[in-house]
Amino acid sequence: MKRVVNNPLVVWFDSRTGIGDIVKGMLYEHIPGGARWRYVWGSTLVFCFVVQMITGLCLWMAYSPSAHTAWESVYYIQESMAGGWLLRGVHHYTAQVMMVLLALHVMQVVIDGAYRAPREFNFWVGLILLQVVFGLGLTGYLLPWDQKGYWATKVATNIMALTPVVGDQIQAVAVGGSDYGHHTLTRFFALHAGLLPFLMIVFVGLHVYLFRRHSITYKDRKKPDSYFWPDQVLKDGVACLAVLAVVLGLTLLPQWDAEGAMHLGEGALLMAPAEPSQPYSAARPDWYFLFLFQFLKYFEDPDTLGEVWGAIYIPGMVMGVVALMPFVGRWKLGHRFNILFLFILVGGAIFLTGQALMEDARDKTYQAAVKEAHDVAERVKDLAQAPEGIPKEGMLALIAEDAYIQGPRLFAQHCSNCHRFDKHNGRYLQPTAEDKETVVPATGSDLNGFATVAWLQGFFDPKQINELHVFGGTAFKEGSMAEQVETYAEKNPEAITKVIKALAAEARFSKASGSFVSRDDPDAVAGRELMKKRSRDGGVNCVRCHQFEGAFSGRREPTVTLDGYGSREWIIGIISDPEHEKFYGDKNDRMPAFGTKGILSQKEMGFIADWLRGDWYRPGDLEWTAPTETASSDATQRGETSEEAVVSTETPPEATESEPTTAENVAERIVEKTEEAATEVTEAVEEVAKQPLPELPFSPAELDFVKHVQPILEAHCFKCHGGGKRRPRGDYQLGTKELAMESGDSGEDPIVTGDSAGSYLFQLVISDDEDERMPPEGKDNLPLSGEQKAILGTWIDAGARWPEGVELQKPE
Amino acid sequence: MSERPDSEYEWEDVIDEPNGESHGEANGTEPTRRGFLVQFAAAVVGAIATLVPAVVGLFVVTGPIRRDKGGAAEFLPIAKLDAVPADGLPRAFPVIKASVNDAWNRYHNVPVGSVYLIRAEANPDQIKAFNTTCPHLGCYVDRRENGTYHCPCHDSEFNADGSRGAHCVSPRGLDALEAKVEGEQILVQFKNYKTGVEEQIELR
Repeated sequence: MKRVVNNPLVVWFDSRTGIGDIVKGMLYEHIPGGARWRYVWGSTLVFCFVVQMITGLCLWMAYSPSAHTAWESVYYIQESMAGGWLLRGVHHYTAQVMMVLLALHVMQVVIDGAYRAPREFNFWVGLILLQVVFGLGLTGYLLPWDQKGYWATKVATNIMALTPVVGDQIQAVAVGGSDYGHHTLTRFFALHAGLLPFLMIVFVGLHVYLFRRHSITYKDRKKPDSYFWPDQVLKDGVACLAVLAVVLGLTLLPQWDAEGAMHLGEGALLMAPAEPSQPYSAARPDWYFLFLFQFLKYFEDPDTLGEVWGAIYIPGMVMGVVALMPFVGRWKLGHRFNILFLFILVGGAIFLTGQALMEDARDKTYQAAVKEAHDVAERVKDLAQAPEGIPKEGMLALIAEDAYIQGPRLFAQHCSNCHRFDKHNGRYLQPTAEDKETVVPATGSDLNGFATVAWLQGFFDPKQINELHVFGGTAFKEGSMAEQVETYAEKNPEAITKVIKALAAEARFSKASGSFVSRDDPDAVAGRELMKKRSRDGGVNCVRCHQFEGAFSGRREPTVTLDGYGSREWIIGIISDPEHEKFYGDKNDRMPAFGTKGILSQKEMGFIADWLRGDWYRPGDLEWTAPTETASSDATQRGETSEEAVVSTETPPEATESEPTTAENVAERIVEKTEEAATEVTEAVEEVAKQPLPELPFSPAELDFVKHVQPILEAHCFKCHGGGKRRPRGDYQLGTKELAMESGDSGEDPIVTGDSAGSYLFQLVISDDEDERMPPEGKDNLPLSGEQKAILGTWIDAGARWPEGVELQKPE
Repeated sequence: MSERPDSEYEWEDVIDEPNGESHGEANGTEPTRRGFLVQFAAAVVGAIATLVPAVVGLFVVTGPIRRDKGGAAEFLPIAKLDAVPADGLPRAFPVIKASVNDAWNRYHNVPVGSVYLIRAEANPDQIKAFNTTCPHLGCYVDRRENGTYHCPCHDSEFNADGSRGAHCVSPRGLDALEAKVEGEQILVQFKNYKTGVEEQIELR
């Protein structure tokens, strides 16, 4: 096949350079038996490498290898540069496709016996190229400096260190020290874009040269011989186009988001930037190394077959056997052995890969970690696109300040031992039925949506209040609050609906959080009034136990303030010191004082509060500013103790304008009011107690417990304050004398011998406040008559005699 | 080029000189002392010219091998005593170092790793500390809710006392670290160890 070229320019150029012979040599390679589709694999690999060089060089022009620019520059390529995602996607998926083509190429060479003499050298050159491609995959995986690349590469470099004799040195040189950092990236980048491609070019050149030298391994020559150009080139070209189509298909592969909407693929995934001190349970190598990853799980016994066998010796021996194939293959049975060995290898690799994938699919820790990793990856992109942009310190600086990311991490570490968030631990890890034996169930309430209308509806549901996700695991199970929830759900459900609105409005959620309830909402306004009204006036009388808007009508110390309930300051306050008088006081169950004891900083508690309240930057929200400490909590930052830190900054309405609000004076005012209110109530009760009760028809000496007192207690009190499975109301029992003398939730002495006015039991019996009067009004509860009250009073005054061994019985 | 059996190859094919003659006989002369010296000098000059930059480059690149190992690890404050409830369950805390160098940058107050701290119910003044790094290949070991440990990478399990569990590809148990309590503060002597080997070899 000769062609004559007459163009004088071409002739001149050829005479000076000899280019004609080179081109001829390249194009007019003799192909015995003609062009075939089965010869295309090698060309597709060369094509892949060329694609990688082109896309790699272009990526290089935008990439910056350092610990705080690597992720950022890749992010910029991916999200900001026009077409960057496509460029990166093609580079990423071509690497994957190349791995598959390599496997096919090696299999074809072995099956066809093309490794045999005189092609031994070319076979070995091919094996070197295989290693170089693995090296390119490994080094490239780290360069984006994201979580998955970071942790996978950490494992890979630790494996390097297991190499006998020089392992530690290899690792130190590759990592650039003992810790991962700038120099790990600069070195990996130099390997990925410099040394390894250089070796690749040298060995591909040698590979092609040797291949040409020995020609194609053909099986038959039925068809006439032909040349590389144009017959085989056309076939190769079509094959390369097919490869490119696969790569583009993978890059553009449509994906479905959580809402089921379809999106065109956006190329290669970019996870969140590497955070060395954060656990990353989703660490896995890229899929083509999964079989090696899984293989390592089999090397358990350090004394016999330790991991160095799985990581170094056995893979080394396998490569050794493969390298010896040309010699083994000289013998006919040897060739069969080689093929068998190869099939075992490939089959084993497929099996191990499948096993790794299946184990991961079943592993809920891994699944939770993957979910969290994707969640954080998405979040990080939103942050990077915020108006502020990425600071020069890098993305980690933004992550460190983001409540959406830091909140659940802190929750998982400090809160999840007791609390849950939407049934999980904040990081999507959720104990299942299988873990029942090893896992202690969460005892605190589920805080997902805390203080929102939905959450409060669950709280005020008598069916839920004593369940584990509310009060079920706490000391408040079936306690006074639960009792009130049950009472009002029956008595006044409409009022509760309004109170729920009022409380959700107290939290002052941001509008963006989706939980916002206006304080001017008519229901909320009405709810606030209902909270302060007695139940005989149609109210709910929260202020009998809680402080709210300066009102408190209880006899004892107020518990958990409802001023600013669920607000940022309120949540920080209760985390900081639940035992503060504004919160649980001495009734605190097991919650540690995270702020007072220095376990969490003010900032960290703020992250938890903001995260729980849904108070974080949302994409496109240009008006958003980070929730800052208000004037009042500035004082808390200056102060050393938590005393100031925990006080709600919500100001009682009447005081708003008169004086500047500081944590201290709000606290003082609230405490003063509490004391006043408590004194008033006590005086009122004493007055009532002083009122003459009807004269008894018998003298105090004739009063007999069994005859006079026992029937009253059994008929009117014992149903709620008896024994049995149910926790007695207010934790007060009347079953025996000993129990009757022990105080319940109130901590007050129920019966003070000889002093009816000082006996809490009697105070409640004669109270004029129907919310506290015993027995409470209800369908089955008959109020006590004056005479019955007098009997109880006289009995206590006369020494509260209770004969030995007398036990109250359930009324029939 | 078509295939030829091995036997057809001969040495001459491999070292074909342009004029069909072998070394030392260039220009048709006999081998001489001068010819040998020229060859020797050419080799030495060529070697020096390429070796000098190569050696300098290699010396710099292998710098981390000869790095100064530094002194013994210091005790670093990790957490307040109250941050570790005395329930025998491990809790993870970052290890913050006042300053850390990474090549050309110096960072302040950065996490250099993390530890699990455990306070037993029976002995609340005693703090146990483990490095969270898996001794197998360096992943971050998770804690399970019952107080045992599990590495998410190769499924190594560790018992509550840090020893190797039922399935464990790690050659040794979790690396225990020295911990002490000073006032309200827990301090830990933070060290990293070489992974993948049975014995504890401190990395510095």
